[in-house]
Amino acid sequence: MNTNNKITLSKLTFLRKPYRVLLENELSCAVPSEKCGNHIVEQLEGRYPILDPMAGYGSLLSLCSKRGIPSVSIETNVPRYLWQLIKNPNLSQIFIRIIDRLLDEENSWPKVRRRADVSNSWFLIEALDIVRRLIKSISLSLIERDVSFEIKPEIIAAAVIVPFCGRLSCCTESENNPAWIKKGGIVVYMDWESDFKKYLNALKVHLVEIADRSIRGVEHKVILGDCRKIRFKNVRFHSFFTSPSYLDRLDHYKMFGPEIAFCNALGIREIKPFLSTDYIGSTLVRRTSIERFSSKVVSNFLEYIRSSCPNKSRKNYNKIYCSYYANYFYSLFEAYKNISQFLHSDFVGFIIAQNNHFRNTEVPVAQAIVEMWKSFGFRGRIIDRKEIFYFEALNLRIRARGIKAKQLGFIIKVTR
Amino acid sequence: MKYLPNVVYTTKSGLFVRQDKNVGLLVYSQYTGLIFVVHPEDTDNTISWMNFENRLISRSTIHNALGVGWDKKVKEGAFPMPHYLEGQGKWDSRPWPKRFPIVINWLLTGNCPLACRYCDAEDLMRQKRPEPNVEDIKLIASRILLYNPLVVVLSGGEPLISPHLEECIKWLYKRAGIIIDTSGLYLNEEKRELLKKYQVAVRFSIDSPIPKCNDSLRCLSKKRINPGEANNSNSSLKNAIQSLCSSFDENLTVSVQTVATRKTINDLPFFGDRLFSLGIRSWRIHLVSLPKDNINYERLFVPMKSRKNILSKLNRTKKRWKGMDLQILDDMNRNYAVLVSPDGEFLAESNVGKGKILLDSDNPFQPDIHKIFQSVSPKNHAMRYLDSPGSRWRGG
Repeated sequence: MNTNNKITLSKLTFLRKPYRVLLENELSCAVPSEKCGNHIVEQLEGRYPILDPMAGYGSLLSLCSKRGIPSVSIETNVPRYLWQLIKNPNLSQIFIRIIDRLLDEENSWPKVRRRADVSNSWFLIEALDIVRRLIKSISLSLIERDVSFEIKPEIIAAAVIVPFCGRLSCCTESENNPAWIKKGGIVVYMDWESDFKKYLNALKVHLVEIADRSIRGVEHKVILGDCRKIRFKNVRFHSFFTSPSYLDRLDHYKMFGPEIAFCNALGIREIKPFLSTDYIGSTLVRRTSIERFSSKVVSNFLEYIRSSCPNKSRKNYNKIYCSYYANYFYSLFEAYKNISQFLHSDFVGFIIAQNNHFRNTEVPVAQAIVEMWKSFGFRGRIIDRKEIFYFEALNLRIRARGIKAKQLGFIIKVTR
Repeated sequence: MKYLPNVVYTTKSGLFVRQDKNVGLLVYSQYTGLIFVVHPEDTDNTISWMNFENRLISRSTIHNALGVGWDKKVKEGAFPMPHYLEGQGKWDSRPWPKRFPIVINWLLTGNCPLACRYCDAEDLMRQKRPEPNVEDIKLIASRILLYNPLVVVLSGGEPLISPHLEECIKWLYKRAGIIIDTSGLYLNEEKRELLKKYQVAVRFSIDSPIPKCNDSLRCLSKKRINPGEANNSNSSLKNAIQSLCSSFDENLTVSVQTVATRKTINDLPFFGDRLFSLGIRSWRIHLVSLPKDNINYERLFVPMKSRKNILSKLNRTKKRWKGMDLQILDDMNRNYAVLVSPDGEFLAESNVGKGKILLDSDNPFQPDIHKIFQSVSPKNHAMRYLDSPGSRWRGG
């Protein structure tokens, strides 16, 4: 891979940190290394397409596109789904053409008179107007060119604009923690055009790279859907390779607050149902459904949380941590149960899980997953485990050094 | 032309200078709102350059810091920290003025539309002291000028509310540099024209980039009177940012000062990014200094550990704010400023508890020059305007 062409985006471009990281790095942080991914994909030879029901930022898609393997990715988080569209090599040329056209029409980009403004909401009307007009111009260009494919032009346009919309939002971000973001702040309109240009150029470099390294003519399907509810007609998958959402008690929904607010404002019918907060690993817990499935591993862990807490904060522990973990495990159970209905009898699946720590004890994600699959009548076993270090512990989370920074990485193999 | 020591002069380039025997040449730039010291060996050369007698100055440190606004673009400026400009001459141990103050803070009025939680001038505000009339203003201004301050900071209260603002500025114009501290609420077009005409640098007080947070610390007083409000928002942050943008549009010298509290300290790097991209090239951060008996002490005081962390964090992040002067003032000792109350008393902050102390109890309206630096520490005074506690040098 040629990394020399990569454009480094300064923090002063105000492009949101998750997207700066995604544009600069090949893989997001919580996914296995490329070597490990390749090794697993090799074992799934002949069982194509490979399914990833919790696709995240599309690491399986990028792995499969390099090797010319068909894949099916499902993601419920709209900004992540839109990012996967950008990563889809089948759409790369369309995106490159859109960027070229946008750059050519630089003089017709909307103008703002004000230098800056302040608001308590995610977006001001002026900012929304800018991005809406850009989306409209992209959609029109797609219609003019008579590009007909299964994804709506508005969604394609949103995929280009959504990573940049945070630049024009009134949000306040943390310097280091990408999941910490607050509604309300100062939006600087001054020089937004130059930042947009930098973003488009960086995105173009990224897309050209995707197009160059991918093997063409292979189908990659990216589906916006909830793996707990999705239904496939007459389809049985022979393999999957997935990784559950990372259990770090950070709100990954809130992390995309401005992007989700923007998607909501766009009012695209196809994506609107997926802009809710109900997703796997949400910290906005509405139910504690642990009683609805019996898992020894999970029950023991929750019992430990209840018993280990100091008397003073017992109420909080039950209300916050127990509910959060119970909700996470139950959502995972629901998702795997639903997916298990669409698996072929000779299927083989790999799950990469990471166990981190809570109050000096390991959170048994991998063990719980094995138990879940066994309860569905499958064979699940841990085939590899290794100790890894929390990727940001040394630099950022001073408190997380030592045992709390350590994690255990597991590879789980699931078969009928 | 030979400049006398300890007298403030205006050079042809518009910069204010005062020669100090022990220190060198003190320079206030109205284009940046910053004060610098030039080494005695470079003094003559710098003065000639500022008076257009020699067109070039060989020392880039002096040129980058003092040439901004008249010989250089604002974006090309570079401000060393501390504000001691070394050219041919170099300091072994940096000195500070021991007789005349560099800056005098004049609390022009006690009226204020805001009720900041950490306000340390509350004991002089809201009719606790009589408001001055025009004659008083002239008298106080002439008394202030007796002490040869390089800069007079008009503060308050909200100085823009004062009905005698124009009179006051006219009186000080060309005799000393003028900086005005404001929340921005009353900075309407008329006031902006006035400030531009008399080359007054505007310093906006903004504490947080989050409206809710800023508004809770700098809340708008319910009792405020509102004739001439420039903006009608209920958010003090929105008012400040809108006034700041309008001031930029009219080419006023604009800077920002922030009081960092426990609530806001973590947002500073993010805030700095926004300010820098808006074009701010001078940002002063005061880590809140409250006496322990203040009711908000526990809520607002920044713990020592956080102070250290944020200093190191800001030192890292300021690398990307090229050409921005960042001063972080950690005023644990509060006897750094010479204050003048609305009724004309010369005061200093009490180092022990709440309130102020008179600089000269025998003559509160015109203290003896020798008594000024008895209550105000000359070292702390110099460090506040020339040095930053975040820098390595801690004084001579």
